[in-house]
Amino acid sequence: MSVAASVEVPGWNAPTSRARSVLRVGMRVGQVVLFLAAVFFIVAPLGWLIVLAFSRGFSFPSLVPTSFTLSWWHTVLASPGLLHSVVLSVTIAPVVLAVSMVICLPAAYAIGRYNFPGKRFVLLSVFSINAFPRISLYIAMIPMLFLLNLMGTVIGVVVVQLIGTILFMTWIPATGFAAIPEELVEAARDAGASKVQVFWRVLLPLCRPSIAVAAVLSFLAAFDEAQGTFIVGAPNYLTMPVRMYSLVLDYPVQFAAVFAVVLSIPSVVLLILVRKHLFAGTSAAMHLR
Amino acid sequence: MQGSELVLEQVTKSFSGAPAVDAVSLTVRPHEFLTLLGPSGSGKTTILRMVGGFLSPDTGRILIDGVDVSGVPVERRPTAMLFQQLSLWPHLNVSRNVSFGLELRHRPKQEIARRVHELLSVVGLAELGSRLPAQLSGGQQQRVALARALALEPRILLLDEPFSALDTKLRVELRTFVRSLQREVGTTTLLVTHDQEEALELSDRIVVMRDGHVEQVGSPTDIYETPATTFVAEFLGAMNFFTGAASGQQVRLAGDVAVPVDEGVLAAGDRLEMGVRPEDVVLDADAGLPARFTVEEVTSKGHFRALRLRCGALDLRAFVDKGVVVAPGDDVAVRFRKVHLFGSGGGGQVAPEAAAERPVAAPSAMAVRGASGTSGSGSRP
Repeated sequence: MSVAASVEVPGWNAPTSRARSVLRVGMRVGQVVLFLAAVFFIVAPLGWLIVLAFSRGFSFPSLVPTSFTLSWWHTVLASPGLLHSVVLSVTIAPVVLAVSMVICLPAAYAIGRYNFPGKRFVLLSVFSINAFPRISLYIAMIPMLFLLNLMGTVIGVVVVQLIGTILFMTWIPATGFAAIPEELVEAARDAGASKVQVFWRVLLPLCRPSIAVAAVLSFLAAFDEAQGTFIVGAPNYLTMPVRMYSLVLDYPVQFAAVFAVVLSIPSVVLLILVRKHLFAGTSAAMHLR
Repeated sequence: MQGSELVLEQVTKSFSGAPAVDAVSLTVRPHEFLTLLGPSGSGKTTILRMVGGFLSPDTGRILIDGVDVSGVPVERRPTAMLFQQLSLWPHLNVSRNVSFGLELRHRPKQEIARRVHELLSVVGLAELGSRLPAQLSGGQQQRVALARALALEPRILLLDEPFSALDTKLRVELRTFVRSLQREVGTTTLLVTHDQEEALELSDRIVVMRDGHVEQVGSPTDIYETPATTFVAEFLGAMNFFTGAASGQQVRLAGDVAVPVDEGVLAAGDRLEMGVRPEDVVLDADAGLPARFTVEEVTSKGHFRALRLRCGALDLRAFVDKGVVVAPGDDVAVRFRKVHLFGSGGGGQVAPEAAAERPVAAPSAMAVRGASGTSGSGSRP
């Protein structure tokens, strides 16, 4: 938490010592407020969810559960098809992420580093995917997927989940690539690097934080996707979020809480995995002008 | 060590139809420190980037030690560039920045480590190898960039206004360092700058550029003392300009002020452009011009005083010793220690930012050179 206090703002004229101490107190207060907000809006609901998943009776007037139980977990873990859902979710989402990176990163590189005719159109169309209710897009895709024999197939599910990742995987790394000063590329060429070596040794490492952010968002977009997956995959391929939607309607809320906790595990694992890249990258990126 | 010859033969480069460099031929001698000096848009950076391989000439050849490198891509040119902007790779530490090129050349690890240490010692940063660029000051970063450029053992070192992003003190310090290092290492060096002081201090020879062509080539002293054109005269140092007509051993200026000149080659009636450096204006009661000047303004410049003098239509700037006692309103007699004469042939306009003091637009072509009196040793602006 003390990181924020030591950040120097470039172009900031050194204030007087009094102004500086006021500033320091202000930043401290800001940190505390930020921390409390994070606890209130992020940690508390998650904690409540976890408590709920273990509670027998827990309704509005009481602030803590009246009694605890593991029965919801037994029911969920014993429910038929759960394992299938878990396997589907944790395999399809990474596949979607990988495919998305293969398709979108070269596009991001081109958009970020080059000018080409139709660039604005490409950006606009990528953006428009997220500018309308997704459900209408899925419905419009159904005839196409039927035509391609992809309805009810895993590939169909991958395709439909890809849609939600395109904006993140294109737009964020594209700005990352664009922010890299041309001198850094020229200096590398000058030092003897071919264009390919420049990409691997300079552009990609400098773009790593943007790609990491895009990867987290894309993974979650794919992992949480329920509407399109249901339309295309049901009844053969019910991923965890799809299953959860039906459970929320049919079972007590605790049942859904257990599911939500289980659903959060991959996200937490992913965040822990990419944390290093996010932070190492951010500091490197901040050193760029 | 390395000291290669760089030759440009009729090099031309246009950007969307407008010529940026127009048939420039140039030879940079082995071990030489040559500076391309000119205002922005004069084509100096374009030349540098063509030598480095970042741009390719439309026509003409670039030869390094007699070998045409025009078609050789950047990464295989025996040149290294020190950039204007701080251009270290922010994700690599200082050592890795320096070793980058050596790693690409697959040199043995031990050799790389030794070389990096050696180079960082040369630039005085041996202790900072593990720092990230953002943890260094601007001056230190530029030193690392210099070490990085030298690591490539270039045959030609290219400096693209490398000091311009630094503050004055650091700039002077670093360029002194670069100059002594260049003398020591002996790498043929091409510097691009618009800073005349930098050019005069660093260069063996200066190439003054204007609108894509070479205006004059010479040693700093040559260029300062005997500028070939009014443009050069104004770009390096300050110069008063007067239009006049030759008449025997004299040049007649407006208001019938006659300035005696030594050379007897002046044909009577020739229109001339006469230049006088402010430091060559001497306040002298005895041997003055047959005209009195009125002091209009006195400005202290620290180690000298800048005066604005007027005689009728003649406006004259003079730099005098800080000990000279004058006040606005005084009448003084002046003598010119040295005058420069430029023929009134062409019709080119001089760059406006340098032309502030000029009573009239000056022709660019040089026809006659003239001087009277002793060669001045006055302080430069």
